[in-house]
Amino acid sequence: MYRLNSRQYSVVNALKKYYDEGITSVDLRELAGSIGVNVHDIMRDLAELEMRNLIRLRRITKYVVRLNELGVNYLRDGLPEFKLFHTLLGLSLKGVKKVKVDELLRTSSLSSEEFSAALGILRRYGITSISKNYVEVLLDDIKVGEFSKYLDGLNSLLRGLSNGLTVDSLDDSLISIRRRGFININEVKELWVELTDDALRAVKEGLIVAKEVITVLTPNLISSGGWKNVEFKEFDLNVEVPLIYPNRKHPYIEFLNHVRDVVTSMGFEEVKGPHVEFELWNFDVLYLPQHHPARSVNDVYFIKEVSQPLPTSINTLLGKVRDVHERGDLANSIGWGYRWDLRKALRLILRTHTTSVSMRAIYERGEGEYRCFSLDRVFRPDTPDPTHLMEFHQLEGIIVGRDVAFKHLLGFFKEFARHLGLGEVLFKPAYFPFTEPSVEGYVKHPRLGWIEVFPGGMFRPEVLRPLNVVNCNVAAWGIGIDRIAMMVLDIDDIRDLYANSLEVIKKIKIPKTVLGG
Amino acid sequence: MPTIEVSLSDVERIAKTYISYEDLERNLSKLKCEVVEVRGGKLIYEASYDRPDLFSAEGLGRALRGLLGREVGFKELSLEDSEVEIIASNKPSYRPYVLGAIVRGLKLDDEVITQIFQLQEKVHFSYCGDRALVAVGIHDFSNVVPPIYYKSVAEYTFKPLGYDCLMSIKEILNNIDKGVKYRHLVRDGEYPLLVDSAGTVLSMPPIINGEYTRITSNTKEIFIDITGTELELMFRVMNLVIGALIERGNEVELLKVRVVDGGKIIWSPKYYSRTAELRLSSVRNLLGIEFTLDEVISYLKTAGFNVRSLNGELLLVSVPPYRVDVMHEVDLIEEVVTMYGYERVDVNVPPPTHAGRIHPLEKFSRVIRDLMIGLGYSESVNFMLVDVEFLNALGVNGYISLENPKMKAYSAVRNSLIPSLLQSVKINSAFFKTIKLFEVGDVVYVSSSGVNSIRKVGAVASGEEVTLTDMLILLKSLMHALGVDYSLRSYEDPVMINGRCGEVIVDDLNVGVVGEVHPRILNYLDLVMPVAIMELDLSALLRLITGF
Repeated sequence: MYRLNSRQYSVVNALKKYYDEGITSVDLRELAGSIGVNVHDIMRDLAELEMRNLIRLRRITKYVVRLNELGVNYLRDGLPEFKLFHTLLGLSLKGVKKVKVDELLRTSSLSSEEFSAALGILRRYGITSISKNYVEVLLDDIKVGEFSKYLDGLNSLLRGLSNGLTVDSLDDSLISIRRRGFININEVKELWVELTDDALRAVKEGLIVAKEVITVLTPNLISSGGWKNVEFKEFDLNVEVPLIYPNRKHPYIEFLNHVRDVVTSMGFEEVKGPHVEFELWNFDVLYLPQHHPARSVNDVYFIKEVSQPLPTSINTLLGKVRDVHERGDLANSIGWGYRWDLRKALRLILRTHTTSVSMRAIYERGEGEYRCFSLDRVFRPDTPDPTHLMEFHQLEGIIVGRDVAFKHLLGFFKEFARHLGLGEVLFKPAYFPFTEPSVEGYVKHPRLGWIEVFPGGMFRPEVLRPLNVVNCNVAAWGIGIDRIAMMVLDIDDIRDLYANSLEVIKKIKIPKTVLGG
Repeated sequence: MPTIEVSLSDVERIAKTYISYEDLERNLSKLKCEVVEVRGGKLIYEASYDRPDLFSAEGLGRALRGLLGREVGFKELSLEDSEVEIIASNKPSYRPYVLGAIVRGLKLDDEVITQIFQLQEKVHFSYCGDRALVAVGIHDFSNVVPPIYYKSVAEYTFKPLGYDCLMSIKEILNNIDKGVKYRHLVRDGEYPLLVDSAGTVLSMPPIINGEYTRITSNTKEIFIDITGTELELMFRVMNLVIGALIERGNEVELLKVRVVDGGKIIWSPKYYSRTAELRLSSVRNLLGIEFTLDEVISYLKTAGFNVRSLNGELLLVSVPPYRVDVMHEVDLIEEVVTMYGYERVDVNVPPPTHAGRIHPLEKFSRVIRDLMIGLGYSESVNFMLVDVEFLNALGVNGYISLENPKMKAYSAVRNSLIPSLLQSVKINSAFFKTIKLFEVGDVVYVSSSGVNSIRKVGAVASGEEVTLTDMLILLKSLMHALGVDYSLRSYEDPVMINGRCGEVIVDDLNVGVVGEVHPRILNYLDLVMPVAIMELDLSALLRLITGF
C-alpha cells in the first residue's frame, strides 16, 4: 500500500491518465500544468516518488540554435567568401592573374577579419593560392563548382536557422558556424516523467491511496503514530492573529526594582524605616530648626490622635539634639540659638523624606565604612497634577567613611546617571539645612532641558555628632526618583506612574534601559 | 525659597561695578541663588533660606562686589555706646525680649525703603517663625524722644503705619489685615508696645509699626527694634538688619541701645564679627580636593571674609556679623568650594567596601510578584493615602487619619490593601468583564503596641463566575510554592460576606484574610460582578519563613 500526500497522489493520477491515452512519458512542465501547480512545488514530491520506485525521471539536454544578428546580415548580404569570390571573378575577367594581398583587401571592401576568413576558405577550395604577398587567381571550373555547392549548403543551413531550431546534438556544420559567430546556442534541460511498471501494477490493484489532510495535530495522532499516515495542511504564515497583552508586573515597580539593582551594584545595602515618623527623626536630628518653614502645616502631614511609644534609650540622643539646636557646643557650632521644644520633636507626622531612614541607620550603626540606601514612599501635602503628587518615592543614600569626601558624592551622581542612561550631570551649589557643602545635580531632559534631579551634600557635624559620628564623613543624597522614572519611561504626567488601568499597564512597552540593564 | 526683587542699578551702585547678565547667572549660582527673571531694570531671583543676608539689594550688591573683585573681605564696624535706653520693666511676660540699635549717616530713597521692607518681610517669614519668635521694626529716629519704653498695655490708641486715623488696639486687631493675620501672637489685655517718652507709639510688636516714625527718603537716622521670644535669634536678626543698612551710607555710625530693667542694663546688641578657626586639613578632608593655603585664603576673601593665616595649617577667619549662616567650619569649607566652582571638581566614586544588597522584604516581594504573575494576576499600584470616608463606608478600623489633609480623597493612611484593590477593580470594571489584580505594598497599622509599617500582598478577582474558591485556590497555590503550611479559620470581616470569609493561620498567627466581598459594598462601589479578595502579611510571613 502506498499512502501518498495529496500532490504525489495527483502526480501519479495524471501520469496514469496520459498513459491511458498512450503517452508514456510526460514533460515536467506539462505535467505540472495539468495538475495546476508550479514546477518547483512538485520537485520534492517527484524525488520521493522516484525513491519509492513509482516513477522514472529522464533528464534530457537539447540545444536551441538560432541565427544571430551577424548571421542574419550575411544571409541577406552574402557571405564574405562569396563577396571575395566575386571580386576575384571580376579581376579574372579583366585578365588579372595575380594581385597583391593588400590591394585585393582594398578592392573587396571586406573587413580584415572577414577578408582573411574568406581568403582561407577560397584557398581551401583551390580557388586561390598565395605566394609571397600575391594572391594567384585559379578559377578552375571543377573547383568553382565545389565552392558553389559549399556556398549553397551553407546558405540553406543559415536560412533554416533563421527561425531557430531545436536539436538533440550539435553536428560539425553547426560547430563550425558557431565558431564563425553566426549563431547562438542555448542548452535546454528537460525532465520527462513516466510511471514505472511497479506503479502501473499498484494503480491497477488499487494500492495507491491519498493521505488524509489534517489541520490540527491531535493527541491521538501523536500517540498512535497515526501522524505518519496524514498530511499537515499548510499554514498561511501571514494570517492575522490576535495580540494578547500579558499579565504584567507594574512598569513603575519594575523600574524601582531596576534602580535597586543599580544601587546595590554600587555597594549599597537597602534599609527601611517607618512611614509614620516622629518629627525628631524627620527634622530635629537633621538640624532643621523647629520654626523652619518646611515644618509648617503647608509642607507636612500631621497625624491625628495616636501615640507611639519612644524607647527610653533615646533620651541621650534627645539631649544632644537639644544641645546642637540651642547652642551647637557638642558639634563645635554656634547652633540655631533658640529654645528647642521636646514636645514638637515628639509629634507624629508622615515622613516628608526618607532621610529619616538614613538618620536611623546611622544612629544604629555609628562610625565605620558603609553605604546604605532606601527607596520608599514619602508624603507632602499637595494637590495631584501632572507634576505634583502628595505621595511619591524617594531614593535616599549615604556613604559613610573616614575619607568620604564631597567629590565622591559628585562622582556617585555621575556614575548613577550613567547606569540609568541619563547622560551628563551638571552641578550647582544648593542649600539643605542638614548638609554642607550641598549640591543640586541637573540632567538634560529631552523636552524640558536641564532639570534638577540629584540633591545631596555632606551631613553637617550638627547632624552627625548627636548620632555619635565624630571621625567619619557622610555623603548623603535624596533623589525624587519619580522624576527620573518619568524620563526613563517617557511619561509626561506623574500620575501615570501610579496608573491602575489595565488598559494602560498591559500595553506599556518595557523601556530599553530596563531591558539592557 | 524666598523670591527677591531688586533694581539692577541699585545693586550695581552697591557692588560699585557694572554687572552683565552673564555675571548675574554665574555669580548668583555661586550664592545659591537662582535668576528668575531680568526685566526692565528689575532682577528677580530666588535666594536660599540659609542666606537671609541676600534677601535684599544691599546684601546681594555686597556679595557681588566681592565676587566681581571690586572689594574682597569686609570692613569691620563696631557699635558705639549711646545714652539711648529701652526701659523694659513692664514687659509682656510671653514676649520678654527687646533689642534696639541706631544707625546714623544714612542716605535713603524710595528704592532703599522698598528694599528695607522686603528684607524685613522675607526675614520675618523664613527666619523668625513668621514673627512668632522674632519681629523687626524700623523707624525714623529723628522725632523719637528717649528713653523708649517696652511695655505691656491693656489698651492704647495710636495711628498704625499706613493709616491716617487713630485706632484702638482692638480695632487694629479686628479691622486691619496685619492685625487679623498676627493677632494670634499676642495675648488679650497684655499687648506689647514700644512708646517713647512723649507717648508716641513706635510699634506694637509683632503686629504693626506706628505711622509717626515711618521712614521716608529724608530719614537720616534709623532706630531698629527687635522683639521676640528667642534672644539669641534676635541678636542674629539685628545683625542682619544692621548689615543691610550699613551699605546705605558712606560714613555710617552704629549706636548701641541699652535695654534696662529695674535700673540694670540687661542686654544690648552684639554687632561683632566672630573669629572662626579653619584647618587646611579639614578643607581637604571634607572636599577631597588638595587646595593650598593661599587658594583657601583667596576664595574666602572673595566670599567676603577676612582671613589671617596663623601657620601653614590653621586659618583665623573673621566672619561678618550679618553672615548668620556660618555656624561651623563646614560652612566656610562650602564657601571655598563654591568659589572654586563645582564644575571644576575632579570627581570620582571610590570602589565599594562591601557588597550591596536589597532589603529581605524587597527580595521576598519580588518572589511574591513573580508567583502572582505566574498565577495569572496583573500588578497594580495604589497610593497609601486613601479617603477616610471610604474606609468608614467599608467599616475598616485601626487606621491613621491626617490632621491636615489637603483633599478628602487623601485623608487617611491605609492599613490594608483591600480598599485600594476594590478601587482598582472599580477603575477597570468598565473595560473588562473578568479582572484579576494584585498589589504588593506597604500599609500602616495601628494597634495597642503602636504604629507599624507592614508589607502586604493583596489579590482580587472579579467576574461572573468568581467565587471564594478562586481565592482559596490562589492562597493554596501561593503557600505551596512558598512551602508554608497554613490553616483557615472562619472569620468575620466587615468587608466580606458572613460565612464566606476566613483568616489565614500560620503557627497560630493570623497572617491574612480571604473572603468574598459583601454585596452591600459592591453596591456602594456600583460594581455588578462578584468579587473575591485575599490579603497576606508579608512582613509576618517572612519572619515565620526565615525565623528573623
